[in-house]
Amino acid sequence: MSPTLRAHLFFVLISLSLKMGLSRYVEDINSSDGLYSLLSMEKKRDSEDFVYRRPLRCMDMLATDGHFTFVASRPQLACATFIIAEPSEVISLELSDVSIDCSAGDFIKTFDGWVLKGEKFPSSEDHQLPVRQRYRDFCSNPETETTSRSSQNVAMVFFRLQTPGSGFTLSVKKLHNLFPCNIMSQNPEGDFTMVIPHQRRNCSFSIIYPVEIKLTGLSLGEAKRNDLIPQYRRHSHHPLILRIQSVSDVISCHIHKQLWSGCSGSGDYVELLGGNGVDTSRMYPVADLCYSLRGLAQMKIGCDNSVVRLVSSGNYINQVSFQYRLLDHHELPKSQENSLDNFCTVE
Amino acid sequence: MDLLMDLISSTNLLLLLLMMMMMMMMMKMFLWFLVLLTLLVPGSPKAEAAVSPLILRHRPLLLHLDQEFFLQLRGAHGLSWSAAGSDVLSSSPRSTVAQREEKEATQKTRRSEESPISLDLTFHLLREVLEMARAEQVAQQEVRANRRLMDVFGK
Repeated sequence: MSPTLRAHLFFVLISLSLKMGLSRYVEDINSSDGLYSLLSMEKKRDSEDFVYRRPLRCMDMLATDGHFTFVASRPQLACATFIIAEPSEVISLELSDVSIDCSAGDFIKTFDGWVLKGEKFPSSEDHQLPVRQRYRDFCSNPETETTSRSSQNVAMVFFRLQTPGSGFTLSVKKLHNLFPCNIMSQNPEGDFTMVIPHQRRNCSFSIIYPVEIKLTGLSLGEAKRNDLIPQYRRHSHHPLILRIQSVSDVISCHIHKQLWSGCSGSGDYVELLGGNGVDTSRMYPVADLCYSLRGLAQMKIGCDNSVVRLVSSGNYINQVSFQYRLLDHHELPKSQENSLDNFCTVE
Repeated sequence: MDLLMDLISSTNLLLLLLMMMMMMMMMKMFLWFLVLLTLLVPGSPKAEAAVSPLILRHRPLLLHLDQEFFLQLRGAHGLSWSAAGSDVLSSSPRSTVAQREEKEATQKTRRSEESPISLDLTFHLLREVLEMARAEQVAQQEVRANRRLMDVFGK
């Protein structure tokens, strides 16, 4: 092949390859829509249909939406599932694919709240429904008792399945709650603002940890000014916190309540409670606040359960804001060996 | 002669039987008349006073009649007659059904009121499972966030 012919051929080949390169460049230009697609709201795949599923355990705690299936591999006589949501959410439960023998003693019951060691949260004083209406028994009416909705951010399911192979599916869905009342905190640290707008009810914020609580804001009734004459001045040594149970470093949680009057005479107040159960009516008040607050008020409660409870008469819009943090180990009192002293302390 | 005597005696027997049957029919008709009388004239105390001892005396027969009365008149006159008929006489079948329903409702209420198993769970264990649930929730939130990113950036 002559060099000239070879050069021509090479030139043609290069031209062809250049064209291919241009084609690729055009493809790249065309594929710039991929970059544009980042700005586009059009979804390539729909992820909203994705529902979380996993097997349910006999003793379980659920904090996420999804479908949870329990199948008994052996007789399960005492099972319970705790369900908890965010403070501003309520829980919707639905039972499906239920395969149990009610006549043989199997049952599935949902409870509006938590039951722990015989104590209920929220307490009967703080919940709007009577106790019997808070329980829903699937076996009492299998056609209608498959769905339930909680009044607060916690719910519970009890079940007993005696026959291997029986089971059910529990669907959990969380719904937004505009004015949350009776909250169980998921975290040992955080902050929250509780509002009761013209409702005659009591709301509790429960923290199942020993914590330090700082009240950052309190608005009660008409007491918007600090120069109001307090009704319980004779009991108060502090303008903000009217009564504290004790100023000593260590206070047992088994103190008696009969000496405590606090703000019980006023219709709207905040009380801090400490105890070793979940029932707020059985807990011990450690501080009451009857008037609006400017500035900080803080207290360390070394109990298993620390509660901020807002009591409202319904005449006003009451609001309390607070922060809480977990007490460190060195902040907890050391329990003496061979001693029956309770470790629940208040500072 | 004997045959004639036999015939006469058997005829007498037959006549006697016929008479008894007629008397029973008349008695039945009289009782029906009394029942109709009390139905048609409900406000008459004398009529009720006259009827009530007789009704009490013949309660079992009247109960039987009530069923027939109930069945016979219901189709013709509807529920009003049947209700009126059962008001005069004993309504024990209805009260038994009502009592049974009330008992079942009470049992259902009691069943729902029964406190289920209350877990004797310590706060320590409760916190442990709560932390596991929180970890699961955080993991699920990350999965959802990653999935959203994949939906936006992926093809």
